[in-house]
Amino acid sequence: MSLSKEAYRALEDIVGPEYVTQEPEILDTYCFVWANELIFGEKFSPRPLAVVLPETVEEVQAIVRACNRFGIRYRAHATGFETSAITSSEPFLPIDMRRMNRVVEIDRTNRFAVVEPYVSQARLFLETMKVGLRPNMLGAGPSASVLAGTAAHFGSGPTNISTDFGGRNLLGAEWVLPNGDILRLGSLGTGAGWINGDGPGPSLRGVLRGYGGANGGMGIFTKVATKLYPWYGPPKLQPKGVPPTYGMVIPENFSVYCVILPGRDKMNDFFHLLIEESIAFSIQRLNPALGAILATESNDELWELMKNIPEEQRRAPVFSAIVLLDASSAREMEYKEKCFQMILEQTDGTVFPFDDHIQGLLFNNSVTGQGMTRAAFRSTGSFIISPVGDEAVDALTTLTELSEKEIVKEARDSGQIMETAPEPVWGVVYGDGGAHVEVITMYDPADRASCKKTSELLEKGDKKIVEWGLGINSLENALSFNESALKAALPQSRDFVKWIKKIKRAFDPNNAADSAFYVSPEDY
Amino acid sequence: MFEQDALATIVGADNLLEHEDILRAHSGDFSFVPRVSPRLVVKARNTEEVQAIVRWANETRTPLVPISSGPPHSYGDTVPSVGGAVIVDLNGMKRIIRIDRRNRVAMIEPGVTFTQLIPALEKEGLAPLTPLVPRSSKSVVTAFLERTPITTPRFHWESQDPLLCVEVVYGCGDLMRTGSAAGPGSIEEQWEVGRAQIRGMGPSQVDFTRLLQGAQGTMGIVTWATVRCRPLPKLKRMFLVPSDDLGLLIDMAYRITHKKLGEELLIVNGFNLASIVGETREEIGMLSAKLPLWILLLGIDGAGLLPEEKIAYQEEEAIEIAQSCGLELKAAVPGTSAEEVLAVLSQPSADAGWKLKGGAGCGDVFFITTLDRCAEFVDAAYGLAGRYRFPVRNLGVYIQPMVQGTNCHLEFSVSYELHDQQETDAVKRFIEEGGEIFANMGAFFSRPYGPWARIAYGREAQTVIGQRKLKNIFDPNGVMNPGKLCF
Repeated sequence: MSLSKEAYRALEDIVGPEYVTQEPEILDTYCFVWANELIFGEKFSPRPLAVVLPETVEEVQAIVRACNRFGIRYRAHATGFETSAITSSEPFLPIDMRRMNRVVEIDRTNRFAVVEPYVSQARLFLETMKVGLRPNMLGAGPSASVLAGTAAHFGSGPTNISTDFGGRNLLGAEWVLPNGDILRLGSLGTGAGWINGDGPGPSLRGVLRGYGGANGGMGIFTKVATKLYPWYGPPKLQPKGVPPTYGMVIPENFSVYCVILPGRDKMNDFFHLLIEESIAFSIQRLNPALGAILATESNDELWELMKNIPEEQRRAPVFSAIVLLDASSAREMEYKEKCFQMILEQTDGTVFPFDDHIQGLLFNNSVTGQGMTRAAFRSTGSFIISPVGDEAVDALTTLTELSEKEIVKEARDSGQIMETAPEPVWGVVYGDGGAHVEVITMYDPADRASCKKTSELLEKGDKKIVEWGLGINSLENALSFNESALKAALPQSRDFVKWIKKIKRAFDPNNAADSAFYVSPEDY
Repeated sequence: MFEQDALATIVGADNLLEHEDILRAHSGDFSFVPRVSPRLVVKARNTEEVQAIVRWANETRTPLVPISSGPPHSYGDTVPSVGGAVIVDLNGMKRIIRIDRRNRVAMIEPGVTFTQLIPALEKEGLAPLTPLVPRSSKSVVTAFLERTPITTPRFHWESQDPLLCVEVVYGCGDLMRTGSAAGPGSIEEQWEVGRAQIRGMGPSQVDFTRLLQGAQGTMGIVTWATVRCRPLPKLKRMFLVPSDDLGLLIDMAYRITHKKLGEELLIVNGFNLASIVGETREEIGMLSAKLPLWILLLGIDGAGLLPEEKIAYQEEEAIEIAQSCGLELKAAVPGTSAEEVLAVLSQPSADAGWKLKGGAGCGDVFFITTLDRCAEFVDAAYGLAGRYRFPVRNLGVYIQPMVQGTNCHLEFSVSYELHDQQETDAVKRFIEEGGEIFANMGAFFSRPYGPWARIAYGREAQTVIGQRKLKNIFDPNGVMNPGKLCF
């Protein structure tokens, strides 16, 4: 695929010459993406055709229409993070949404915010906490796009116990369909504002996204409304410490705990009780290795820490969780603390006595998602998540157990990936029940053997999770290049993939919206 | 006749109903949609039969109208819009397939009513999330497929709740399981590894459950669903907060949801509360005169590890909120007590439902708005009552905070004499013309029954285009409930 001069001029006419470019040194910044090496064997994916930066929904619409007219494949890109944000197998047109970065509205009374694609969750949190509110926070960290986690990609994060899954917070969307038409979802379309994203009648929100988002394969969202939640802390948090291992002063009526559970079953019980009691602000299942990286400033410091731990202890499974409680009053906090202590008693949980510094750091991580991504990247330079599961709590601990036994241990023993305690897992639980886990593999992107071992692990994860009957891997395709996870789930995935492909064909007749991380129109 | 034989082969001749009285009963309801008699009623007993019926309908191009709840019906969605339709009656599919206490999920067939589900869940230490006093014959699956609001906004994270996964026979005859029920493996195999059909979104990158919700049976027929339940409280407290000023109660409702207090939270006017607790029309009339103008209902569950403490701290918090709003939590108001209200709210309404007690007719207008806009809609509704000359005292108002208080369901119900043509005409105008007026004020008809479909769909052409694309995919021959919504 190439971009004709006529097509380029058309893009210039839409956004002005300063906001479209084919300069190689700029284009290459759009194809140097984390984990590309696992797909292409090198850091660079194919160089884009051009990059265009619209400022308004009208410009986005005109660009999409031009793409349909000139036969150009396009995909929107917001804060970007991983391969699903921008990698593709062939050159396409990234539509960089960075100029659309406004917090359009914060409705304090009805607790929702309307944002454009480039609004990060940190920014929205900073704005909303001033009025006693907060958004869902993604595990991807403070710089992640609110819109991406709500409408376009995924949505798990530390606060899911009190905010639920990101995709369940969508209240409305301004949506440039793959053919360039604009659809205003739900109440917005009928002139009733951004208050409800479902209806009239059957909800097109189901086309906009499923469990995973369409990753640009179903058009472009230029604004979304996302639900907000009560924030019982101060209007501004007080940083404490020095980056990168900085925390926050823990405000009144917040308590953070690192809990060690004596076994898998007790950990399951612990999560079930916390879901049912509805007392937590955030809950994360966290492998101690990730916690240790999070708490140290450098790999050298980490190594000093690790080598002082006896090997058998380093290799022993640890079932641990970070829990943050919040309350709107001292009375409520007293109740929640008492309830939490009872949960600990019932599950034989113990609280690890971290000092104030680590407590502040864990608080910051629990509230903002800050640090986890840094932790996952720092030790080796890259990481991937696989297998990934999302269902009942008990099923997911089975998933992490089986992953350790049948996939991860062998890879770890090969010496090609980062050594961690068994079950290198990050996980969260949802407010309405159920949970999410990601098995994290840290690998060296500059080392071919490490990349090869990681690619094998990915492939094995896709197959094994289906074999175990525990799901479909890689966020059910949302992190799978060219439908690899869906294909690994064949023949079982065929029954539903055919419907997704029909929807793709119906809404994107020219196959203009790039489907590298969605589904292609072609049937299997 | 030949086609009928084919149906008899599928379900057995005993399950084909064509008696004139039965067909007449299905040809209309309490709404004002035109009466159209179905050709036949077929009672399906399982998924295989449903699938065979839908395939037969595609071969014969026969319109199908699925129905799961028992009568009476109120919104016209179960009345055929075209002649020659076959009613697919799922009321006999009454299996409670599984109750999963640990994950708080029940898997049920479409004929399961709240009356049936409540005691079954109670045995397992659970309770259903319910609409406001559903009628005894109301299908749980239909209630949630139609996004009927529940009385417990704390458990209503979003519009899809508490519906999770479903098994559906699409209009084309294909079978699919949605959400995490899609696979891998059979449902039984999923149970074996601890899965609970608990994630309603998906599978993968389309939310198929959502494409069926609010569809009024136009996309396919759901043959089972998983629904989220709540822990059965060990203790329970109900409070009534009366006021003549709706604005104060709205303020209190916002504060309650901001503090995430309690479970049941709703506001009704005196007439509606009288209709809920009263037995006869006379009693309702008397109670209505006694009850406060507006009442906020707040229920607090004593569930979990510390039931007494939970109720105690939440009650104290609620008292403080009420005081700050110039209100008071009460155990009784003139005409009824919190205990009586709690008892009524805990069970489905007997027979026809709380709005139709004593043989009255009832016309509803409901839509989604935000709590802070309710007062202006209420003023408009009272204005319309004057314009259409029906008694304001018979206008019920129900405000249900939804999506944890982010928006709300606002419902006006007009009780009328079924045989009084003047009253009937006035109510009909209220529903049709009033709908238009409310929509112009910014009401969102997310569940556009009958005349509201034109109002809702007339405002966003792309929604119509998009939904028709879906209809063409899942029901290409248009056999499922034709004439509804924008189809």
